[in-house]
Parts: sequence; structure tokens; C-alpha cells
Amino acid sequence: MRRRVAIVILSRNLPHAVDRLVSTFRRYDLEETDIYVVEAGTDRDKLSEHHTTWASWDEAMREGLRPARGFNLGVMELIRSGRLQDYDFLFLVRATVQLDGPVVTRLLDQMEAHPQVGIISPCGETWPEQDLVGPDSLRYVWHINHHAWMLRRCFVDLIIDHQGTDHGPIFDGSNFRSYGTDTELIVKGYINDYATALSTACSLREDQELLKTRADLIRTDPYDINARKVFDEGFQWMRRKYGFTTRLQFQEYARLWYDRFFVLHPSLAPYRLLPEEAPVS
Amino acid sequence: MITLPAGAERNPRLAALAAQANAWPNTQIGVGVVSLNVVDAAVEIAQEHDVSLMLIASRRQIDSEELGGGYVDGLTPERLAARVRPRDARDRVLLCRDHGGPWQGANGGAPASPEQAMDEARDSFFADLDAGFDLLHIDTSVCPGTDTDDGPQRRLLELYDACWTQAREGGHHIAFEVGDEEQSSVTEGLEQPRRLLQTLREYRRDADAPPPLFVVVQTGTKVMERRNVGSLSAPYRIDGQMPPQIHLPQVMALVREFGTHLRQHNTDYLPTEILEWHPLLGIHAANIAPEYGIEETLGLLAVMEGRGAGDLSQRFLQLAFDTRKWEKWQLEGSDGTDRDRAIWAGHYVFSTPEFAEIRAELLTRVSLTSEELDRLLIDRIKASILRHIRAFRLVP
Repeated sequence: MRRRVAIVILSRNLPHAVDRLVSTFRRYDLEETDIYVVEAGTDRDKLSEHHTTWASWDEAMREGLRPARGFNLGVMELIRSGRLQDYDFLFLVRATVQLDGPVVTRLLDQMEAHPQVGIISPCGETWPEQDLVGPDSLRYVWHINHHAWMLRRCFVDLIIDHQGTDHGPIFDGSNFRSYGTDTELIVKGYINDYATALSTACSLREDQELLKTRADLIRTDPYDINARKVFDEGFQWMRRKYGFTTRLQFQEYARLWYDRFFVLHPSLAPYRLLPEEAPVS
Repeated sequence: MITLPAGAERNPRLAALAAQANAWPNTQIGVGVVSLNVVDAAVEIAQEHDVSLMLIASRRQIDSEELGGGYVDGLTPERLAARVRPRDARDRVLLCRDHGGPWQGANGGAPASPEQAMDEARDSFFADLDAGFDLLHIDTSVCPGTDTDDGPQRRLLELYDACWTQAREGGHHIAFEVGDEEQSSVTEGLEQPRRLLQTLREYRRDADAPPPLFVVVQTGTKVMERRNVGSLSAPYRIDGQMPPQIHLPQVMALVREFGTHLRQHNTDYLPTEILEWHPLLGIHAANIAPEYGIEETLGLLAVMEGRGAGDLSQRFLQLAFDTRKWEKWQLEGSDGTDRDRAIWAGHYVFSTPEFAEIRAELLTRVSLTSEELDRLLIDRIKASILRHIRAFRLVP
């Protein structure tokens, strides 16, 4: 049976987290998935036994790859090996995320029911958006962060940058720490008539403890310092690439394309996260 | 866009504020009465830039004579009006009560009984009306003892009714602001403000009372130390909270549904890029207070320390530190120094006799007149107010 989903897990020095994710996928979603693990500058003794790609060149070992370049590498490997077209969906998951149950199967069901959705994400367990989406449902959104996104491959085919050896095929790797690259991908979706959906058919947990207190483990700066670098680089990137001087402008840009999507697809209006707004007054 | 309740348009200052709000997308500003110099700076800006603004005074800052006045030079509502009105020929400065209500006053000692606290709140509001205040914010969120679920709303309706009756009988054309939530960094659910507005709507139907001009709803702003630690300005998701870009449209829909307008409190220290978005996000009005007080404190320290009176700055800082008023602004796990703490509390001592001594000595030592020193401080405060006014698109 053809496996329709390529799962790409991005990790750095987190073999146990990878093991846990792989175990969950194998237990619940084995028939639908192939699993690829990108080790982004991971120390040799902390490689997951499941790893398929190890970014071990000097810079990667020193700085890691961060989300944009890390997931780009995973997708690039699929392209190089000619396997990208074997799949209908890519599921790009950070190793710092915890998932339970048949997450892939549930997201697939929703992707099949919503052919205009190009990106879908499980809702975080603590995200208040759950109340807006309702149980076992989905809503189209213009702003969510990338923790575990399933992408429709035909959407990826549309936006893929085959020339972008430096920047990568999907995310803009020139923004190293990647703040805003997820919003950019959402915008690319709406521009190309693909929505981004938030699902409550399954959920994710972020390992906050790991992110905030174990920076040493994933060999990055302490949380606050890393966060500052992430935002500073992201703001510079938005200014350089788009001319946005505030992140709100970027979000408003995404919102414009989101609203336009519903002009083109009025029948999908019930899936808006919020009812259509009256003009600001 | 601001729609005044029927009758309020007969108040020239409210009418001017509404006209300003309706000219183009902008956000109205509330300036906290944290010192006399802040009052004077705001009045000057209103005249020089022909802009309407709201002076907002909490009961701890200014209260009636009978209730002990406040920490701002012992000003009463009447004396505040006497200071402002003669200099406001253009009717650009609205006098507003901020967080009026029971247990909101400066009275020390044991908390008043519920009956006494309500009586005092009512007397305080009536003194505001007598002084010609334009807007009353009724905040009944404080209760030192055990409160019932509907306690804040019950008290709010009682005070709304009393104030509206008194205003109507006295021929005062005023507006109201309501909101019974305390400042919070989180974007809380909207059930509580919805319940409040619904209850108020039912009361108004029976009492023929006007809707509140403004309602306070948490938008994710919170002032601690010299920072805004709320989610509105956080560039990342705060665990368990609705992102502001999703929360705010819901808030705006709620206030539209009830025919009122959003007033955001605790807007201090937001970066200009966030302030500039307030008009486009539709936030009708926003309050800034301690930021201006601290600006004045920093101005004083600059004069003292820049002109060889460092010993006076130490006395001033010690005086402010000893009030321990900084405690309410301090973040858990703060790495602030004692100097930082003193700066957070500096404006609370401007009216004390001890500070008057320090100030008098400063004037002698640095060869400044009192007017010259105030001019330095007022100009510094005005620059800070202008940052907000420009970002809110109140002036070009």
C-alpha cells in the first residue's frame, strides 16, 4: 500500500523526543507514513537511531539549522532522491512537540474533506483558539506558528523554489532563526488559493520546559537571548524583504490575503475563525 | 468613530472629543493625573496642538476634601477644575474620573465596611459632578472581603443609577465608562464584559439611562516596572492566551454590539510601532499614566545629577524608596536595583514636605527658579505625551 505522508522530524540533540514521536507515529499512523528525521547539527552521540539525514558540516554543528533551513534540508533530500512526488502530503514536525493518538490519520481526514486547505496544524492544548474552533473541527486562520504542519504536496509543488539553493525550497532560509517564515508560507498559500487550517481533531503540546530551561541540551542560547535574536533577525528580514517596519504590518498583509480567499470562496465562510469584520470605525 | 450618548453632545468638551474621533481613524488619549506638571503639560499640548485629550484622575490621586484628597498636591476635583478650565479656552481638556468606586480611595487603615465604601464612592462621584467633570469611570472590581459573583455588577448598577440621577437633576451632561476588571497581562475571555454590558443594558432600558461611552476590556496590556509585559506587545504567543490579533476583533465586535467603545487601560511603555496600530485596530481610547510620572522623575534626576547635586538625588531616591509604593510595580523575580525601585515610586512623593525641602535646596544650588525647573520638566513630559498623540494619529 502506498504511503501518502512523508513525516519530516527536525531535531537537535533530542534523541528521546524523536523516539517518542516515532513511536507515536508507528503506533497510530504506520500505514500512511514514511518517517524522515533530520538531525540538524546534532552531536554524534545524540543522534537518533531513526535519523535519515545528519547535517554535520561545521556551521550546522556550530549553529544548528533552525526551522527554516532544517525543514528545507528534509524536503531537499526528498527532492534529490526523487521521492517527493511519491507522497500526497508532508508533515513537518519539530522534535520539541509532543503528539498523541492517530494525529496523521485525523489530519488526513480533514485534508480530504477540505481540498482548499494547503496547510493544517493541530491546535495546541493550551491555545484558547480551541474554543473558537469547537471540538473535532477546523477553522481557517491567517496566523499560527509552525510546530507541526501538514502540507498538501500539490501546494508545495506550486511554491517550491528549485533555484533557491541558499534559501531552500519552501521556507526562506535567509532568515536563519526563522521568525515570520511561517507567516510567509501561510501568505503564499492564500495567494495561491490554499488556506491554512487549525484543527481540533487532534492536539499538540509544546515542551515548554525544554525550550525555556534546557537550551544547553539543544545547544542554543539561553531562552531570552535566543528569543531576542529570533525577533531581531525576523524584524530585519521583514523590513529587507517586504519593507514592513512592524510585525503587525506583516500580519495585516496575511489578513488581506486571508480575506480575499473568502471573497473567492464564499461557501467556505463558515470556516473563518472569526466572523467577517465590519470595517474599522 | 465615537457616537455620544443622547444629551452628551451638549457638553462642548465631549462634543469636541467625538468630532476629533470621527474626523479620521485615531485613538483618543487618557493622560493620568500623576503630578501637577503632567496636568500642565497635557493642558499646554491640548492648546498648542488643538487636540482633545482626557485627564484621568484616580481617587488615590485626587479626591474630595472630605475624603482626604489624594497624593497629587492634595488636589480636589474642584481645585483640579480650577487649575485646568481657565487655561482651556478651546474646551479641549476633559476631566475624567478614573477607577472611581468603592475601596478605590487613598484612605489608610482598616478597609471601610461595604456600606461606608459605597457611600464614600457615591460622595466622591458627586464631588466630581459638582466640579464639572465630563466623564466618570465606575470600577467596582475591588472588594477587600469575600465577594459574591454578582457583587461587582450589583455595586456598579447602584452607582451608575445614583450618578446618572444626580447628573440629570443637576443638569450635568456627562458620559460614563464602565469596567470591573483589574489590569491583567492576559487577553481574558469576553464572558465577563459581555455579562456586564448585558446587565447594564437591561438596567438602562428600565431607567432610561444612557449607554456607557467607554468600556474597559482587557486587551493584553499590563504595566510592571518600566515595561509593558502584556501579550499585546509580545512578539510570540504567551502560553494559554489568545493572540491579540484574534482577541481584538472579538473585543471590537462586542463593543459594537452594545453600542459602546473600547477604552484600553495600561497603555504605558508600548513601543511606538504598537501604538501606531491602535487607530487601525479600532481601539477607541487608551490610557497612559505612570510613564509620565516616571518621565518627570527622570527629568528631576537629570537636573540633580547633571548639575552637581547628586546628594539631593540620593535623598529624593531614598524618600521615594521608603514609600515602598514600588512594590506594586515590581515583577516577580525582578532584577531591578534599589535605584530602579525608587524611580518607579518617585512621583508619589512630589507633594510631600520632605520633597519640597529637597526641591527648594535644588533650586538654590543650581540657580534655577521654580518656574524654570517646572518648564524643564513640563517640556520633557510633553515630549512623552506627544509620542503617544502622534502615534494615535491625533495630530499630523
